[in-house]
Amino acid sequence: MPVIEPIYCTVGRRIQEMRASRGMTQELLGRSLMPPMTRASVANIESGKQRILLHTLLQISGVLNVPINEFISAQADPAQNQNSGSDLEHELAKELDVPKRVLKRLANKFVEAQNRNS
Amino acid sequence: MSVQTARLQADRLIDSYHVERAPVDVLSLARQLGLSVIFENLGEGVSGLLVTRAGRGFIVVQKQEKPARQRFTIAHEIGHYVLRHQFDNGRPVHVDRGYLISQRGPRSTTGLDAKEIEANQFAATLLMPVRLLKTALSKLGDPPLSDGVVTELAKIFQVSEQPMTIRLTSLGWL
Repeated sequence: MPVIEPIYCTVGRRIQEMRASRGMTQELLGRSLMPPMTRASVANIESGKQRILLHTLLQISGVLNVPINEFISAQADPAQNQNSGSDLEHELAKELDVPKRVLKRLANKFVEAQNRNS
Repeated sequence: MSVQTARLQADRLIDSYHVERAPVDVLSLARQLGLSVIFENLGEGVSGLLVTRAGRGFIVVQKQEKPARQRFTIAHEIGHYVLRHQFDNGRPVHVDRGYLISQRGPRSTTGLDAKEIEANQFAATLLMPVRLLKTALSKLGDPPLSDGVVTELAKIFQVSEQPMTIRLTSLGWL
């Protein structure tokens, strides 16, 4: 499989997050574009397997009502700071009254799920 | 944001994922939205958590509670996520404790309570969509509804009787 530049993964992940948080399906997003895009293409863009075209990104930014720079800004890629669960363990400890081993297990599960999805 | 918007968003979600029959599979809906769902012992009085981190969402559900209650919790947390609720100081962890009690409380206008009420309305709409309720009712007989029917509906939709009663009342069917 050809190597795709990491920026496409980042952009794809942000599209996925914004779309999902609006309760929109991949299919619906694809249909909102002109020309329409199949669900599979949207999935490939979101996973970073397909390089998104500039005019497509512009349209998606319009459909999701998100400024285009939010997809491509140079802020740190979330993927880079998701390897450690210790900060989260700390946050959980502030809110929950459970044994430390439970906090640790929870934080680990988050990191696992995050790595699996990214 | 308002209660109406919350209901509308839940209806849109139900429609766009083509949910056709009760009980609504909230676990699958959460996953399709990119939310991971984890069951864990969360200590006394805690029903669930929504954790947002690096743009991703996680729902943690109290392991100790009954399945019907857990389903409501998952739907409630999906509500916080879909409605893009921001919590105090942008903290990554939001804890929900006994929110059902404050559902129709008098403090509904304060910031946090308003979000909880919206999430509850979202959850009720998601778990008990009008269209599916009508279908179920058409098989159970016409109003006025007896207590037995409420129990039966709660069973079909896999929710507790309390939220089912509230839902039917707010729809003017009870």
